[in-house]
Amino acid sequence: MKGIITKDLLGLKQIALTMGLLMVFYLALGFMNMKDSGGSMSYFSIMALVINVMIPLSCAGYDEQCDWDSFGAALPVSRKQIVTCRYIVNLLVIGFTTLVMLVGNILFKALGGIPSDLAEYLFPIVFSLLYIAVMTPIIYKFGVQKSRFIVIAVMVVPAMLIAAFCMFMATSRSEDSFPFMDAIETLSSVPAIPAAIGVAVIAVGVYALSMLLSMKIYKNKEL
Amino acid sequence: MANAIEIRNLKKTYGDFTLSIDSLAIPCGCIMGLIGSNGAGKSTMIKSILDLIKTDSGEITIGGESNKNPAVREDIGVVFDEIKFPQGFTAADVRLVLKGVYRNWDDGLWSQYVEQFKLPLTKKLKEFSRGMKMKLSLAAALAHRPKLLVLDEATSGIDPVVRDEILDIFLAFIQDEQHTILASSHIISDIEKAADYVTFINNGKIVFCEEKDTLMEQFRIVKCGNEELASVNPEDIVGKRTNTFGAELLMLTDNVPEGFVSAKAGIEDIMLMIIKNEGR
Repeated sequence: MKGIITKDLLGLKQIALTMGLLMVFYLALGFMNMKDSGGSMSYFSIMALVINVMIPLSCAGYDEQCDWDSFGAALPVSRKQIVTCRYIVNLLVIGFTTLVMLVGNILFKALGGIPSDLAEYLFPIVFSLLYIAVMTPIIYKFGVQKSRFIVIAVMVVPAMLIAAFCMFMATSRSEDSFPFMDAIETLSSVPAIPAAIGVAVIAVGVYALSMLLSMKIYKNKEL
Repeated sequence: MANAIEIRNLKKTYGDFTLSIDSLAIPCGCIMGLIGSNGAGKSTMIKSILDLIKTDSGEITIGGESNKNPAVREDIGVVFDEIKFPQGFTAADVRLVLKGVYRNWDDGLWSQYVEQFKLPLTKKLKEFSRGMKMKLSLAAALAHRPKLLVLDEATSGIDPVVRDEILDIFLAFIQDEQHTILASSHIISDIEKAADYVTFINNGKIVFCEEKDTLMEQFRIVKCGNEELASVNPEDIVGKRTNTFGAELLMLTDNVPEGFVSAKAGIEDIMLMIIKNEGR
């Protein structure tokens, strides 16, 4: 398995410089308005999310380009292990961006800025896990090219529904007629830390389920 | 000693094409050449052996073990028609990956092949020539000391000098009687030069699987005029190539009529004339 993980990490050499520069730029952006408003790591938080979700796509794209899958499956590793390696690489990338964010925050605090709160830390982690969880089985099933459009559809449709829901809620609130308002207010009164743990656990669970689904798809794939 | 590869009742259907192999055994210590036209089923057979595709039925064993067991692939080296690593990789990257995959990876042997093939370690694969890519694939396939080498069109598109070098490596590899090579190729001269056995696949079925020397003794090419052609029993003609002056016939050596001029048949003649005959 070590070799398969190494293959993905070595493949990332090609985009490492671009990703590194983007990370530095967005960290620096946070430092720029430190004097006025104490700076912000939210720029980097969003960039971390983008990097986290782009890397699995890049790895799959490189594999598809050179038809790695047929060679990989001829190696003494099971297809389950190959899928597991991809999910581990994704976690390593998420871990790396989180670590950079942590270091950035330490610097931030040392320079008198306002460090990230829990939500800012969790946002890229949770959304990356969920996005990758949705995207990876689709990539295994349809390949990178087709998946781009399917993933956009999978992500945009719920986003539009949420936006519509929010708009509906805003109008309902004024008329005090929205039927689930009580439930939503109860939910929003849950303390931040238990809520954050709950969301993280759900994201990890969805990620694990996604891995099982990818394994099933890849096991039956003709290479 | 178990056969290197055994196939029983294999079936794999893609639309209107079916690969169907009732029985095939490739003994240890030989080079088996796999020949056939495009779409005949060579790659499907190789993919089935490597468990890259889901077969409809049948059983395949490698060294007596089911091919579905990933551990059997520790003893297999695979070379495809293209190198399957990202183009941004270097030979050093390939080593790092495979060293992490194979338990028997031998760095010393790898370095020996890298030196022998004059492979640059830091140059990206996209800058490699086709011959260099194939040599790298071969070094990667051999450096974990496999017992079985599977080559799918590995020598196609390579100049004769490099092909000859690669064939020499195959011949050196096969010196160990536990080693076996299964090589599919369009370049029949390579098969003629190196193979001990030849399996000919056409339309998804094995036409023959014979020892190369026996095969070449079994068939003769008979050159005859139109009048002589009329006197030949049509049932004795395995394949026929006609021209304005007469015909070239592929016949079993025992069936060549007395007084007819005949010559040794090459594997290419045998393959082409059988395909033509079956097409009619």
